[in-house]
Amino acid sequence: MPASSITSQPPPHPNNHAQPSLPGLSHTDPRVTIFDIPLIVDEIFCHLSIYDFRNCQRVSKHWRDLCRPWVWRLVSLHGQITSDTQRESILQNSRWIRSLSVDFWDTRLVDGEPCRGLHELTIWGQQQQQQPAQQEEGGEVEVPDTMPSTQSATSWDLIGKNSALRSLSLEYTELLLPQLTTSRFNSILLSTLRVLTIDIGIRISSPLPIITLLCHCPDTLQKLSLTNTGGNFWKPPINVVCPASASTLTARWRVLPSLRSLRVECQMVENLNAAILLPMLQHCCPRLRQLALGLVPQHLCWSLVDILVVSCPFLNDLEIPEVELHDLEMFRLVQGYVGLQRVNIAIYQNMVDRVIPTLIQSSGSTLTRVRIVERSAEHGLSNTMPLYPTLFLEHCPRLVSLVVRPVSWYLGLESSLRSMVEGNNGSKVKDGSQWACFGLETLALSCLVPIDSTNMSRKRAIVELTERLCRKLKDQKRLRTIRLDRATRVLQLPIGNTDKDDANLLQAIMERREKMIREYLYFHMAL
Amino acid sequence: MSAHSQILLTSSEGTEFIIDRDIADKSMLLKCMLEDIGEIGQAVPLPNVSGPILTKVIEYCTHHRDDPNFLSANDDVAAEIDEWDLEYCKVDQGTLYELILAANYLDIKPLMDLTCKTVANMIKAKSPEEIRKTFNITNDFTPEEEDQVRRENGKGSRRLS
Repeated sequence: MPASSITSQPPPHPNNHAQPSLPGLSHTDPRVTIFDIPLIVDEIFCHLSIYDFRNCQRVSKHWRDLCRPWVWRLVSLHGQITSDTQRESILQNSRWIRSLSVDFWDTRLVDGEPCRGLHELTIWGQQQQQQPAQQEEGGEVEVPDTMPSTQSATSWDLIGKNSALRSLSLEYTELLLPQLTTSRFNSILLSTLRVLTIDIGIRISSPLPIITLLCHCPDTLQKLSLTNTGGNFWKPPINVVCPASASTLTARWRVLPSLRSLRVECQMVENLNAAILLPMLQHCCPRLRQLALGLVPQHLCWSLVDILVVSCPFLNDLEIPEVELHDLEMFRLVQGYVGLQRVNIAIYQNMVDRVIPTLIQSSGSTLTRVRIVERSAEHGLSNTMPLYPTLFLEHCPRLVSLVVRPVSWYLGLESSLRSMVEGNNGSKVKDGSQWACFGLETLALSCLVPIDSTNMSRKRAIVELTERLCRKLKDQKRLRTIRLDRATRVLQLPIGNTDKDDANLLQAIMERREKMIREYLYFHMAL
Repeated sequence: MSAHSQILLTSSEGTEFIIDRDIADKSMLLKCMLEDIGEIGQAVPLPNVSGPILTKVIEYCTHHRDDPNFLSANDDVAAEIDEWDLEYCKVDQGTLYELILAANYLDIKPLMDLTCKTVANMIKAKSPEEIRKTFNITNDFTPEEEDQVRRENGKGSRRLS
């Protein structure tokens, strides 16, 4: 493409709509433009997409150099096939790559300048996907159909060479995990790692590779996640086998002093909880704040609670909706922590009387998000809505979101509403229930059956209660969604902007909100 | 400090501008300076900003004088530019560049975002030739180099997730 313009020419004004240049304006040097100032280039380029950068790259040499860090920031070689020229350009530009996703047998990055500036690295350990791609592209690429173990050193070398690596993900690790031996780690330095994500697959036969990996994690590790969402489900899982001597195993677990967040969701691996989860909680994470668990078998629940309360005293975020704790276990758990901020738990109906008041007593002043799923006990459904949502509303000043999914019959809605309006012991306070939470954004009581009533007097009672609830919601300036049964879509409510002093506007918003709630409830009760 | 107090500014040519304190506070540079040394009644020299550009900057700050979200409004990168701002940015390129430099120097983040977004919009969805024309850039690639860049681009599209 021939070049037509001349460099030294001052910038013309090609934009016809533009106003004429302002008088008295002096350009210090016409050749120095904003594109020579890195800070400003960054400000401009952050608004552009990868497609724009492709065009920008072709503008001039200067622009090509400007765009490089942006074009090469994210690179995924996973399942991708490259030609020789592409491989060359990847190698040439590897120092700009910040986030890389690569298959573990990939040898394309072996020669040339290695990536040394990576912040995020994802290593894929599955090779099934390669076959169809290979057929499609013919002989263009060198993809081995079996994985020679020597080649896998490449991706481990990548980890070793990146001293600023913050986040490491190991996906489909069925072939990868067995390689995690101590000798392998001698060449790997994980000194700055903050986030580690491991998809352990389902054919894991020993916890040792994971223990070894954690042993080599630095003190900086903050977030750890063990899942097996992407495993090959057609293969039968192999149970994790605990090595014979439990005491030798204990000695190997390493304390991770900065670990704040732990997620373990490995549904398919049977023995994992006993072999990995419990010892890890016991030995690894004294400063854990955030815990999310998948299913835990019932016979392990007591030890789980036991270990949690003793070994992880700083927990404030519990996400265990699939763990079915018994009465005593749940009681021990909520009693064991003071200052929980987020809870997502499953309870049985018969636990309500003890567990909820205890939870509120020990953590009421700090709770921000509460989600409670009720599980049906064996004796079937009850027809009373729980009254405990009111307890949260009355005793948790920082509450932002309250979601309760009770197992109950619609007839109980009336008493639930009444409790929210009048308080649980309504006679005591004249003006009804005093809600403590003024930052509430979400309120949901999603029972199984839609609101309905054929009884006129009950209907009238519900209408009257709704009116009173609306009046109550006046104080809830930030409330955005309200949901009173499961079948309904979420009511999106306008928020009053508390920063503005415009009382009229605020009033209008509140009135609109009340009208929406009323209309909504009337509509559903008329069905 | 009273909101009605006034500040004296001098542009690079020595032209004096009198503006209200709350308008000066939109500039983090001036705000910090005034907070540190107090209002001494002397003119604040701005040797990096010319008179016409300073006029434009003051116009912007005056328009957004009572904007409660002045500092947070532009957090949303994808947000549309509002009509007044759009009209405000219809200036020739030289002025736009000077505005960016002034916004950078005076540390007025929303103006910086607005002007940089305007430049980004001049680049968005344009062919390389259009970009060269807009910014008066010479294509200094040899045909081979250009070919190479294009090849990297074209096929590499699948490489990038």
